[in-house]
Amino acid sequence: MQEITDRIREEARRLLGEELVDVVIGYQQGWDETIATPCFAVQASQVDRLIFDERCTYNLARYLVGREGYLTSRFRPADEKPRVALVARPAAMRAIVGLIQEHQFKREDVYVLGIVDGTPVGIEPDVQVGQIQEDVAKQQEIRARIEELEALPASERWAWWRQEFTKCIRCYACRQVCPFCYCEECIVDENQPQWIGSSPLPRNNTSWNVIRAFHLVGRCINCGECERVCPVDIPLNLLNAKMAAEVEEVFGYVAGMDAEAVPALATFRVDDTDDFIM
Amino acid sequence: MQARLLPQGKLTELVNALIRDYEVIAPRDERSFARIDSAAEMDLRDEKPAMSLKEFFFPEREVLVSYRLGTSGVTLTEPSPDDAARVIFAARPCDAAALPILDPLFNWDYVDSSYVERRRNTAIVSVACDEPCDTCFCVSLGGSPAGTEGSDLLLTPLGSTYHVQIITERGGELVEQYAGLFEDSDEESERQRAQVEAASRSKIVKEVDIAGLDKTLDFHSPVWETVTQQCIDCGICTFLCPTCHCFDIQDEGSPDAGERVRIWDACTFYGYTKAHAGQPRPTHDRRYRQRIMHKFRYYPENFDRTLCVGCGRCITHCPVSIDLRQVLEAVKE
Repeated sequence: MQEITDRIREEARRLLGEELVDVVIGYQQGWDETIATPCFAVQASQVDRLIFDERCTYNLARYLVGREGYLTSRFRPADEKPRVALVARPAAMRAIVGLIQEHQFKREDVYVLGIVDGTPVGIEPDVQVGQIQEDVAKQQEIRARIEELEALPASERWAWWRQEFTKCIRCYACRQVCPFCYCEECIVDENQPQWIGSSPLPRNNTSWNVIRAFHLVGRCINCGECERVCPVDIPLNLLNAKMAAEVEEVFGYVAGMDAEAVPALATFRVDDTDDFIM
Repeated sequence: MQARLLPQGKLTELVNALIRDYEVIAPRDERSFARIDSAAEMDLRDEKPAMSLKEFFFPEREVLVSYRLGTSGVTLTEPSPDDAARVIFAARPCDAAALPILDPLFNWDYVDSSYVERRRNTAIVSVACDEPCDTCFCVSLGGSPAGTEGSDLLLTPLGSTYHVQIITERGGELVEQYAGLFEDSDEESERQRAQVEAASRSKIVKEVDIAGLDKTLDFHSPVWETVTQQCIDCGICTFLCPTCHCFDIQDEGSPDAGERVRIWDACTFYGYTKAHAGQPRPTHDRRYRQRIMHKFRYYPENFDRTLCVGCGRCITHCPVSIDLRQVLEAVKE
């Protein structure tokens, strides 16, 4: 891991020193030795803050997009778009692929300091700064949990999800941490008309969480950030992983694999299966 | 100090006795406090629940009025008052301390009757923290892992027994009500209690000096932009905070029948106080600044109290590990 840290610092020093980028987004030590937090290095003197190890899990692609994103900020004139280098774990690279597909920015807008784990990431990093182990156990666990839920009768499964959604406090951390939740105005914030009630009633919470899952169909790249940040431990990623599996089965499409591909739900083929229509 | 002792074996008995006579709220799991129907449902782990006690006084959703359109016009119904006698058991001293800080706000230019009613009907029995978390910094806000503010009784674990400090008249009445369970305290127990508190205090290693912040916090400081870069604008820090109290009012239902409700709102949300003219704080540095200025400057100016008890939830649960202690240090400079 120290090698990865060294490599990131070396690249960051070069990129900032030669003024090739304006900011390097990576990880730094957080409030104690067990915690990492995002780092925004803007000058060569700051690069020694950058670290990489097992604590550094956040999907930093989130900072590229949205109202205040580095590449899409509407508070900065278009000609002042900063040149950004991003320390990208595999999930962040897949997110970058999806965001390019959705025309949020172009591949050349972000300098990718990639960390690979052998899984496909859909883009060539500008520099590969390290290699980590794929978290196979975690993916297996997600599949096992989905299978477990699917074994339940639909009514029990629904009751289980309703119970989970009851816990929701509507802090929207799931949305805010998600690289794909970059909408100018989220449907849950619209109030003329108000599609989804704002108060944390079970019915409103269910609408919110289900609609968010639907909006991520064919887009979510399974970084798991929504589930990680949820303060009341709703297993949100199960919804997303299940929808991703459906999309793969029905359309043969996996998100975050090909920046040139048209996203599954943004296109139509006459031979698309329609057997899900009852 | 008025005090008694409660043998550890009697704790369950006390809680079950309370449940027979009161609505009892206690820590239920790592997520929240909740109403319990048996002492066995209580979870006395070291870590405090993610949610504070605030929801039991200032609920996340509260009906202000119900309406129904009938043939003879509109009928408005106010909710019946929440007047059940309650005991919050095993509160955290920091959560309890938050309530006297909020009292002047909810009794300010508008007296919030439902909050006031719930405060009046609720006794608070806190348990001193002997293992503070690494994000706790109550001592920096004038509190303590064994702080008494806001509590009616404070239990301090002394091994085989709990030291029970009687803080208020209501606390004294509770002890009298279940007098058979308690024993007299003695000098040795008092000494042990002080030791537990001192040991616990010494485990809080990261403090922040807030002296003078109410005068020096600078609205125009360039630091706000850098200290808030990580912020992703979610509501975790405000919703989990025992003192954050901003709310929104919404109408729910159909034109024929529905409810006007008060729900929690967060200054970290983009839509917070958005009006026709737009969003007064369009970027997250301004929103986060509002949160800090409100807690450490505006609230002290209005109510002479800092709007923070150092519970550390905003640090523990921040999705991107923003540390309020570090932010305060940075904005002071």
